[in-house]
Amino acid sequence: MNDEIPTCAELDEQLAPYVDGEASPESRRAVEAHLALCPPCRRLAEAEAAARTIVHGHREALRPHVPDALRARCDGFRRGSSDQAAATGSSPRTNQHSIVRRWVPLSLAATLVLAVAGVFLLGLNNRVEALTASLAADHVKCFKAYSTAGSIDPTDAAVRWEQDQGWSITVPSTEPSEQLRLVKVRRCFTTDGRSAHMMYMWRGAPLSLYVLPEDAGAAREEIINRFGCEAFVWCSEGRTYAVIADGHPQDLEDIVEYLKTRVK
Amino acid sequence: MVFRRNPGPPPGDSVAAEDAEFAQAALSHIDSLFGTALRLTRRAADAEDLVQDTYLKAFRASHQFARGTNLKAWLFTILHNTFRNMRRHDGRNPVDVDSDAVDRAAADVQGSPSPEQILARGTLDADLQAALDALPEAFRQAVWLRDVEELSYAEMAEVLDIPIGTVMSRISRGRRALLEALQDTRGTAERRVASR
Repeated sequence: MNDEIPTCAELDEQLAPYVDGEASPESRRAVEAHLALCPPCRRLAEAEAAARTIVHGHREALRPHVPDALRARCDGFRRGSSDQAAATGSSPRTNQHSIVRRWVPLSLAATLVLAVAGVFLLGLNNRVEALTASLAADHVKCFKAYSTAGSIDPTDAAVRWEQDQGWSITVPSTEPSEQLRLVKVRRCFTTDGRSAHMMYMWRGAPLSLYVLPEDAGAAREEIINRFGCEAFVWCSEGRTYAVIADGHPQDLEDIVEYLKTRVK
Repeated sequence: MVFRRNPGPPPGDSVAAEDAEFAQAALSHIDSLFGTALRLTRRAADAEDLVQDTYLKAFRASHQFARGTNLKAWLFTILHNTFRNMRRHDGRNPVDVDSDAVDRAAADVQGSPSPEQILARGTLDADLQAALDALPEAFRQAVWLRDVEELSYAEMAEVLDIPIGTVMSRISRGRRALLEALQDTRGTAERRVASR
């Protein structure tokens, strides 16, 4: 082959634009010259063009239906953002201090802005505090996003978690005497999918138990108040645990102790 | 769709209006984001979480969106970064590609059903879904973003954080592997019918 005709290896990055009709005239001529001389590459180009035709022709059918609940949740985030902007009369990025002053009741978007800003503005230079801020934001977000009606079986949830995620957790049981009801166990994306988030209703109010399969370095049990939530954080046997509740409920220590003895 | 903001710091009302406009434009891509998330995670619950987190991050970081650039590609970048972080913590590497296996699979299409025969099959959509899901992840992303979401090569390079040449190579290899998988499905179905 002469210098203008690419080799088989050089064709690797030129076939897609050729098949898509986006190759430059020079590249197109070079590819066609190669294909005229190379039946194996010609078959590759034909196969690629056929696949492109099939997928592109069925792209609408391939797109799944978006669940209505997901659409509504994401739309709710937008409203939260608008509410927050309207409440402060400014954008989240230009008036963070005024948001801090009027943080109750915060919209979801404002809470998340604070979670990030807090690391920089509120002196959260400690890893445990920064983690807690993220979890507090996740706690608020999830209880806005998901229904708290009904309950799920803790044993089933633990089994399913281990099957899906590959590491085990103990899910403390629903306890009527403690007015504790398990509503959902989810993977927490706020921590990049690293942690388990057990969502409970306790005395009719949201309560979260997070488990991270790593030691965040909490020297002892720490009680941290962030963004209208109270958080108990502790580490044990290479894992980090956090219980987060809205506000400052009475007897929170008791339910933390109850969860602590059962989540091990 | 290209979302544009006015330059300079606008007054409060304008900011609220711009934020609303941004949110509206961003939410118009939810079908694309969910489809892509489902192809990435292959689990509806994880895909929902991924999309939800993408919107939360997008609304939070809307000021970082560069005026005049492609909002859909920007959202896809957030979605893929979130997914990559999640996978990193899983200890899995999404760019591991057995290129030799794909080359071997796609090199010989002789004796297989023609694309026309495949297109004629009534059950193509289900087979196509299955064949896409069976592709190595890097190829699945490349084919999906190009042929379903119709991103440009440059946008894909940014979303996937790989060189543009690699984008083109993965598109080609992914398409050929996909056709091979469809032909295998067709061949299996024909053998099943013949054995009855």
